[in-house]
Amino acid sequence: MISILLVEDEAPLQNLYRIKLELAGYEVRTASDAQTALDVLDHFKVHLIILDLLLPRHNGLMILQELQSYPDWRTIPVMMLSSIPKVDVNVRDAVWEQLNVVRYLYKPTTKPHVLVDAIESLIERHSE
Amino acid sequence: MAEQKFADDIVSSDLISTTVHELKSPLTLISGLSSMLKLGDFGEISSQQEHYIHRIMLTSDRLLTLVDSLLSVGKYKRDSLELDLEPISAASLVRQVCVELEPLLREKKLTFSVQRPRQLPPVMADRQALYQVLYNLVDNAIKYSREEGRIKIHYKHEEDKLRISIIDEGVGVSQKDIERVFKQFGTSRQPIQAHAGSSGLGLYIVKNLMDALGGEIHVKTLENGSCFYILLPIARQLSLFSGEVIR
Repeated sequence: MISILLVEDEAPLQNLYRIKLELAGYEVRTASDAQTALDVLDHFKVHLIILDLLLPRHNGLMILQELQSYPDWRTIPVMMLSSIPKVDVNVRDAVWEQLNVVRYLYKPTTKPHVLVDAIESLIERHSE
Repeated sequence: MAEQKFADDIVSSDLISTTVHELKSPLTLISGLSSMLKLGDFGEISSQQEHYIHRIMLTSDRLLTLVDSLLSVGKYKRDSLELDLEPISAASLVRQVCVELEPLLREKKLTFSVQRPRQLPPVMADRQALYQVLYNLVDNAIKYSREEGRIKIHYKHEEDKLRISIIDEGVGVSQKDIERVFKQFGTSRQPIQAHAGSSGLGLYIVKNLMDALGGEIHVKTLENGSCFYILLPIARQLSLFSGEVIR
Protein backbone atom coordinates (compact mmCIF):
# COMPACT_ATOMS: atom_id res chain seq x y z
CA MET A 1 0.00 0.00 0.00
CA ILE A 2 1.30 3.46 -0.87
CA SER A 3 2.02 5.49 2.22
CA ILE A 4 1.69 9.27 2.20
CA LEU A 5 2.86 11.82 4.74
CA LEU A 6 0.48 14.78 4.77
CA VAL A 7 1.98 17.87 6.42
CA GLU A 8 -0.74 20.47 6.97
CA ASP A 9 -1.12 22.64 10.05
CA GLU A 10 -4.78 23.54 9.65
CA ALA A 11 -6.66 20.69 11.26
CA PRO A 12 -9.92 20.92 9.25
CA LEU A 13 -8.03 20.96 5.93
CA GLN A 14 -5.71 18.19 7.08
CA ASN A 15 -8.74 16.13 8.02
CA LEU A 16 -10.45 16.78 4.69
CA TYR A 17 -7.46 15.73 2.57
CA ARG A 18 -6.73 12.74 4.84
CA ILE A 19 -10.27 11.37 4.48
CA LYS A 20 -10.17 11.73 0.69
CA LEU A 21 -6.74 10.09 0.41
CA GLU A 22 -7.83 7.19 2.65
CA LEU A 23 -10.99 6.75 0.58
CA ALA A 24 -8.74 6.55 -2.48
CA GLY A 25 -6.88 3.68 -0.82
CA TYR A 26 -3.72 5.32 0.47
CA GLU A 27 -2.22 4.92 3.91
CA VAL A 28 -1.94 8.41 5.37
CA ARG A 29 0.28 9.69 8.18
CA THR A 30 -0.27 13.26 9.24
CA ALA A 31 1.81 16.00 10.80
CA SER A 32 0.99 19.57 11.72
CA ASP A 33 4.53 20.88 12.05
CA ALA A 34 8.07 20.22 10.87
CA GLN A 35 9.23 18.30 13.94
CA THR A 36 6.29 15.88 13.83
CA ALA A 37 6.86 15.41 10.09
CA LEU A 38 10.51 14.46 10.65
CA ASP A 39 9.49 12.12 13.52
CA VAL A 40 7.06 10.33 11.19
CA LEU A 41 9.81 9.96 8.58
CA ASP A 42 12.09 8.53 11.26
CA HIS A 43 9.62 5.79 12.18
CA PHE A 44 7.68 4.95 9.02
CA LYS A 45 8.38 4.24 5.39
CA VAL A 46 6.79 6.99 3.30
CA HIS A 47 6.43 6.97 -0.51
CA LEU A 48 5.20 10.52 -1.01
CA ILE A 49 5.09 13.73 1.01
CA ILE A 50 2.37 16.35 0.61
CA LEU A 51 3.77 19.47 2.16
CA ASP A 52 2.18 22.77 3.09
CA LEU A 53 4.50 25.71 2.48
CA LEU A 54 3.45 27.80 5.47
CA LEU A 55 3.86 25.94 8.74
CA PRO A 56 4.28 27.14 12.30
CA ARG A 57 7.91 27.79 13.34
CA HIS A 58 9.67 26.09 10.37
CA ASN A 59 8.26 26.54 6.90
CA GLY A 60 7.97 23.89 4.22
CA LEU A 61 11.17 25.00 2.49
CA MET A 62 13.15 24.21 5.63
CA ILE A 63 11.66 20.72 5.70
CA LEU A 64 12.66 20.28 2.05
CA GLN A 65 16.23 21.23 2.89
CA GLU A 66 16.24 18.84 5.86
CA LEU A 67 15.03 16.02 3.60
CA GLN A 68 18.00 16.62 1.32
CA SER A 69 20.39 16.01 4.22
CA TYR A 70 19.47 12.34 4.53
CA PRO A 71 19.97 9.78 1.73
CA ASP A 72 16.84 7.82 2.73
CA TRP A 73 14.63 10.89 2.52
CA ARG A 74 16.27 12.68 -0.40
CA THR A 75 14.50 10.57 -3.00
CA ILE A 76 10.98 10.82 -1.61
CA PRO A 77 8.88 12.84 -4.07
CA VAL A 78 7.20 15.90 -2.61
CA MET A 79 4.04 17.70 -3.69
CA MET A 80 3.77 21.22 -2.36
CA LEU A 81 0.27 22.30 -1.37
CA SER A 82 0.01 25.98 -0.63
CA SER A 83 -2.40 28.87 -0.43
CA ILE A 84 0.33 31.03 -1.98
CA PRO A 85 0.40 30.85 -5.79
CA LYS A 86 3.62 29.34 -7.13
CA VAL A 87 4.46 32.50 -9.02
CA ASP A 88 4.52 34.47 -5.75
CA VAL A 89 7.07 32.14 -4.16
CA ASN A 90 10.56 33.28 -4.98
CA VAL A 91 11.89 29.85 -5.91
CA ARG A 92 12.97 28.92 -9.42
CA ASP A 93 11.76 25.75 -11.14
CA ALA A 94 15.27 24.31 -11.16
CA VAL A 95 15.44 24.67 -7.36
CA TRP A 96 12.08 22.95 -6.90
CA GLU A 97 13.43 20.10 -9.04
CA GLN A 98 16.61 19.88 -6.98
CA LEU A 99 14.47 19.64 -3.86
CA ASN A 100 12.55 16.77 -5.49
CA VAL A 101 9.30 18.75 -5.66
CA VAL A 102 7.34 17.01 -8.40
CA ARG A 103 4.27 19.22 -8.34
CA TYR A 104 3.21 22.54 -6.84
CA LEU A 105 -0.51 22.67 -6.10
CA TYR A 106 -2.44 25.82 -5.29
CA LYS A 107 -4.82 24.97 -2.44
CA PRO A 108 -7.84 27.05 -3.53
CA THR A 109 -8.02 25.19 -6.86
CA THR A 110 -7.01 21.81 -5.43
CA LYS A 111 -10.20 20.14 -4.36
CA PRO A 112 -9.60 16.78 -2.66
CA HIS A 113 -10.35 14.78 -5.84
CA VAL A 114 -7.88 16.97 -7.76
CA LEU A 115 -5.18 16.04 -5.24
CA VAL A 116 -6.00 12.35 -5.73
CA ASP A 117 -5.84 12.83 -9.54
CA ALA A 118 -2.44 14.48 -9.20
CA ILE A 119 -1.13 11.56 -7.13
CA GLU A 120 -2.51 9.02 -9.59
CA SER A 121 -0.83 10.84 -12.50
CA LEU A 122 2.44 10.78 -10.59
CA ILE A 123 2.14 7.05 -9.92
CA GLU A 124 1.33 6.42 -13.61
CA ARG A 125 4.40 8.41 -14.68
CA HIS A 126 6.60 6.45 -12.27
CA SER A 127 5.29 3.08 -13.40
CA GLU A 128 5.85 3.82 -17.14
CA MET B 1 -13.67 60.18 -6.59
CA ALA B 2 -13.49 59.98 -2.79
CA GLU B 3 -15.12 56.55 -2.97
CA GLN B 4 -12.49 55.37 -5.46
CA LYS B 5 -9.68 56.60 -3.18
CA PHE B 6 -11.28 54.84 -0.22
CA ALA B 7 -11.50 51.61 -2.24
CA ASP B 8 -7.85 52.00 -3.34
CA ASP B 9 -6.74 52.59 0.25
CA ILE B 10 -8.61 49.52 1.42
CA VAL B 11 -7.08 47.15 -1.10
CA SER B 12 -3.64 48.67 -0.49
CA SER B 13 -3.71 48.09 3.25
CA ASP B 14 -1.48 45.31 4.59
CA LEU B 15 -4.00 44.54 7.34
CA ILE B 16 -6.77 44.04 4.82
CA SER B 17 -4.52 41.97 2.57
CA THR B 18 -3.65 39.70 5.48
CA THR B 19 -7.30 39.38 6.46
CA VAL B 20 -8.30 38.63 2.88
CA HIS B 21 -5.54 36.02 2.67
CA GLU B 22 -6.87 34.41 5.86
CA LEU B 23 -10.21 33.91 4.11
CA LYS B 24 -8.60 31.41 1.75
CA SER B 25 -8.43 28.53 4.23
CA PRO B 26 -12.08 28.49 5.36
CA LEU B 27 -13.24 28.98 1.78
CA THR B 28 -10.96 26.18 0.55
CA LEU B 29 -12.46 23.99 3.26
CA ILE B 30 -16.06 24.83 2.27
CA SER B 31 -15.26 24.26 -1.40
CA GLY B 32 -13.44 20.97 -0.67
CA LEU B 33 -16.09 19.63 1.68
CA SER B 34 -18.91 20.44 -0.72
CA SER B 35 -17.08 18.76 -3.61
CA MET B 36 -16.66 15.61 -1.49
CA LEU B 37 -20.33 15.69 -0.49
CA LYS B 38 -21.29 16.12 -4.16
CA LEU B 39 -19.12 13.19 -5.22
CA GLY B 40 -20.83 11.02 -2.61
CA ASP B 41 -17.72 10.57 -0.45
CA PHE B 42 -19.84 10.84 2.72
CA GLY B 43 -22.72 8.73 1.41
CA GLU B 44 -25.41 8.93 -1.21
CA ILE B 45 -27.26 12.20 -1.74
CA SER B 46 -30.51 13.05 -3.47
CA SER B 47 -30.55 15.07 -6.69
CA GLN B 48 -32.01 18.03 -4.79
CA GLN B 49 -29.23 17.85 -2.21
CA GLU B 50 -26.70 17.62 -5.04
CA HIS B 51 -28.18 20.74 -6.62
CA TYR B 52 -27.83 22.79 -3.43
CA ILE B 53 -24.37 21.41 -2.61
CA HIS B 54 -23.29 22.38 -6.11
CA ARG B 55 -24.46 25.93 -5.44
CA ILE B 56 -22.47 26.05 -2.19
CA MET B 57 -19.41 24.89 -4.11
CA LEU B 58 -19.86 27.51 -6.84
CA THR B 59 -20.38 30.28 -4.32
CA SER B 60 -17.26 29.38 -2.36
CA ASP B 61 -15.25 29.10 -5.60
CA ARG B 62 -16.52 32.52 -6.61
CA LEU B 63 -15.44 33.96 -3.27
CA LEU B 64 -12.01 32.37 -3.69
CA THR B 65 -11.70 34.05 -7.09
CA LEU B 66 -12.66 37.36 -5.49
CA VAL B 67 -10.09 36.85 -2.71
CA ASP B 68 -7.35 36.17 -5.27
CA SER B 69 -8.34 39.22 -7.29
CA LEU B 70 -8.40 41.49 -4.23
CA LEU B 71 -4.96 40.25 -3.21
CA SER B 72 -3.61 40.94 -6.70
CA VAL B 73 -5.07 44.45 -6.84
CA GLY B 74 -3.71 45.15 -3.35
CA LYS B 75 -0.28 43.80 -4.21
CA TYR B 76 0.09 45.85 -7.39
CA LYS B 77 -1.25 49.02 -5.80
CA ARG B 78 1.10 48.60 -2.82
CA ASP B 79 4.13 47.97 -4.95
CA SER B 80 3.14 50.72 -7.42
CA LEU B 81 3.78 48.23 -10.20
CA GLU B 82 7.53 48.08 -9.84
CA LEU B 83 8.37 45.72 -12.64
CA ASP B 84 11.52 43.80 -13.34
CA LEU B 85 11.64 43.67 -17.14
CA GLU B 86 13.68 40.90 -18.73
CA PRO B 87 13.58 38.77 -21.90
CA ILE B 88 11.04 36.01 -21.30
CA SER B 89 9.68 33.09 -23.27
CA ALA B 90 5.92 33.76 -23.23
CA ALA B 91 5.22 30.23 -24.51
CA SER B 92 6.96 28.75 -21.48
CA LEU B 93 4.82 30.90 -19.15
CA VAL B 94 1.67 29.81 -21.00
CA ARG B 95 2.71 26.18 -20.46
CA GLN B 96 3.12 26.83 -16.71
CA VAL B 97 -0.31 28.47 -16.56
CA CYS B 98 -1.85 25.47 -18.33
CA VAL B 99 -0.26 23.03 -15.88
CA GLU B 100 -1.70 25.06 -13.01
CA LEU B 101 -5.17 25.21 -14.57
CA GLU B 102 -5.19 21.66 -15.91
CA PRO B 103 -7.62 20.40 -13.21
CA LEU B 104 -10.19 23.00 -14.30
CA LEU B 105 -9.69 22.16 -17.99
CA ARG B 106 -10.20 18.50 -17.21
CA GLU B 107 -13.25 19.17 -15.04
CA LYS B 108 -15.00 20.89 -17.97
CA LYS B 109 -13.64 18.39 -20.51
CA LEU B 110 -12.18 21.21 -22.60
CA THR B 111 -9.90 20.69 -25.55
CA PHE B 112 -6.87 22.90 -25.51
CA SER B 113 -4.75 23.64 -28.57
CA VAL B 114 -1.81 25.86 -29.40
CA GLN B 115 -0.94 27.32 -32.78
CA ARG B 116 2.49 28.88 -33.04
CA PRO B 117 5.29 29.53 -35.49
CA ARG B 118 8.36 27.35 -34.99
CA GLN B 119 10.47 30.32 -33.83
CA LEU B 120 9.00 32.61 -31.19
CA PRO B 121 10.97 35.65 -30.12
CA PRO B 122 11.31 36.40 -26.40
CA VAL B 123 9.24 39.28 -25.07
CA MET B 124 10.37 42.03 -22.72
CA ALA B 125 8.22 41.65 -19.62
CA ASP B 126 8.09 41.14 -15.88
CA ARG B 127 7.74 37.41 -15.25
CA GLN B 128 5.27 37.68 -12.37
CA ALA B 129 3.11 40.31 -14.05
CA LEU B 130 2.95 38.44 -17.36
CA TYR B 131 2.16 35.19 -15.56
CA GLN B 132 -0.73 36.95 -13.81
CA VAL B 133 -2.02 38.31 -17.15
CA LEU B 134 -1.88 34.91 -18.86
CA TYR B 135 -3.34 33.12 -15.84
CA ASN B 136 -6.33 35.47 -15.70
CA LEU B 137 -6.97 35.23 -19.44
CA VAL B 138 -6.80 31.43 -19.61
CA ASP B 139 -8.78 31.12 -16.35
CA ASN B 140 -11.48 33.38 -17.84
CA ALA B 141 -11.54 31.37 -21.07
CA ILE B 142 -12.15 28.23 -19.01
CA LYS B 143 -14.78 29.88 -16.83
CA TYR B 144 -16.78 31.17 -19.76
CA SER B 145 -16.46 28.06 -21.91
CA ARG B 146 -19.19 25.56 -22.37
CA GLU B 147 -18.47 21.99 -21.32
CA GLU B 148 -16.49 20.05 -23.91
CA GLY B 149 -15.66 23.31 -25.70
CA ARG B 150 -12.33 24.34 -27.18
CA ILE B 151 -9.77 26.87 -26.10
CA LYS B 152 -7.09 27.96 -28.55
CA ILE B 153 -3.90 29.87 -27.94
CA HIS B 154 -2.51 31.52 -31.02
CA TYR B 155 0.87 33.25 -31.31
CA LYS B 156 1.77 35.70 -34.05
CA HIS B 157 4.92 37.72 -34.58
CA GLU B 158 3.90 41.24 -35.70
CA GLU B 159 6.89 43.52 -36.43
CA ASP B 160 8.19 44.51 -32.99
CA LYS B 161 5.37 42.84 -31.05
CA LEU B 162 4.24 39.36 -30.19
CA ARG B 163 0.51 38.82 -30.33
CA ILE B 164 -0.95 36.13 -28.09
CA SER B 165 -4.62 35.37 -28.61
CA ILE B 166 -6.75 33.35 -26.22
CA ILE B 167 -9.85 32.17 -28.02
CA ASP B 168 -12.78 30.49 -26.33
CA GLU B 169 -16.13 29.14 -27.45
CA GLY B 170 -18.02 30.64 -24.55
CA VAL B 171 -20.77 33.21 -24.23
CA GLY B 172 -18.74 36.00 -25.87
CA VAL B 173 -18.79 39.71 -25.08
CA SER B 174 -21.50 41.88 -26.54
CA GLN B 175 -20.38 44.94 -28.57
CA LYS B 176 -21.81 47.35 -26.00
CA ASP B 177 -19.95 45.64 -23.17
CA ILE B 178 -16.53 45.62 -24.84
CA GLU B 179 -15.72 49.07 -23.41
CA ARG B 180 -16.59 48.01 -19.87
CA VAL B 181 -14.83 44.70 -19.48
CA PHE B 182 -11.49 46.22 -18.48
CA LYS B 183 -12.97 48.54 -15.86
CA GLN B 184 -12.99 47.83 -12.12
CA PHE B 185 -16.01 45.63 -11.31
CA GLY B 186 -16.90 45.97 -14.98
CA THR B 187 -17.72 42.34 -15.60
CA SER B 188 -20.31 41.93 -18.29
CA ARG B 189 -20.13 38.40 -19.51
CA GLN B 190 -22.53 36.07 -17.86
CA PRO B 191 -20.62 32.99 -16.83
CA ILE B 192 -21.98 29.80 -18.25
CA GLN B 193 -24.70 28.76 -15.86
CA ALA B 194 -23.51 26.51 -13.07
CA HIS B 195 -19.89 27.58 -13.23
CA ALA B 196 -17.88 29.85 -11.01
CA GLY B 197 -18.61 33.54 -11.50
CA SER B 198 -16.38 36.52 -11.99
CA SER B 199 -15.14 38.98 -9.40
CA GLY B 200 -15.15 41.83 -11.91
CA LEU B 201 -11.52 42.52 -11.05
CA GLY B 202 -9.58 40.04 -13.17
CA LEU B 203 -9.61 41.96 -16.46
CA TYR B 204 -9.12 45.26 -14.63
CA ILE B 205 -5.91 43.81 -13.17
CA VAL B 206 -4.88 42.45 -16.57
CA LYS B 207 -5.42 45.85 -18.25
CA ASN B 208 -3.37 47.65 -15.59
CA LEU B 209 -0.56 45.12 -15.86
CA MET B 210 -0.51 45.29 -19.65
CA ASP B 211 -0.32 49.11 -19.53
CA ALA B 212 2.58 48.86 -17.09
CA LEU B 213 4.32 46.33 -19.33
CA GLY B 214 4.04 48.68 -22.30
CA GLY B 215 1.73 46.25 -24.03
CA GLU B 216 -1.87 46.26 -25.14
CA ILE B 217 -4.94 44.15 -24.56
CA HIS B 218 -7.96 43.91 -26.81
CA VAL B 219 -11.08 41.84 -27.05
CA LYS B 220 -13.01 40.73 -30.12
CA THR B 221 -16.36 39.13 -30.05
CA LEU B 222 -16.65 36.11 -32.30
CA GLU B 223 -19.61 34.35 -33.79
CA ASN B 224 -19.07 31.59 -31.29
CA GLY B 225 -17.17 32.91 -28.29
CA SER B 226 -14.57 35.58 -27.78
CA CYS B 227 -10.94 36.35 -28.45
CA PHE B 228 -8.80 38.25 -25.97
CA TYR B 229 -5.41 39.15 -27.37
CA ILE B 230 -2.38 40.85 -25.95
CA LEU B 231 0.48 42.57 -27.73
CA LEU B 232 3.85 42.48 -26.03
CA PRO B 233 7.07 44.21 -27.02
CA ILE B 234 9.67 41.83 -28.38
CA ALA B 235 13.00 41.82 -26.58
CA ARG B 236 14.93 42.95 -29.65
CA GLN B 237 17.84 44.51 -27.89
CA LEU B 238 18.93 41.19 -26.42
CA SER B 239 22.54 40.84 -27.42
CA LEU B 240 23.81 37.50 -28.55
CA PHE B 241 26.95 38.23 -26.58
CA SER B 242 25.32 39.34 -23.34
CA GLY B 243 25.22 35.82 -22.00
CA GLU B 244 21.68 36.34 -20.76
CA VAL B 245 19.61 33.21 -20.48
CA ILE B 246 15.94 33.30 -21.41
CA ARG B 247 14.08 31.41 -18.74
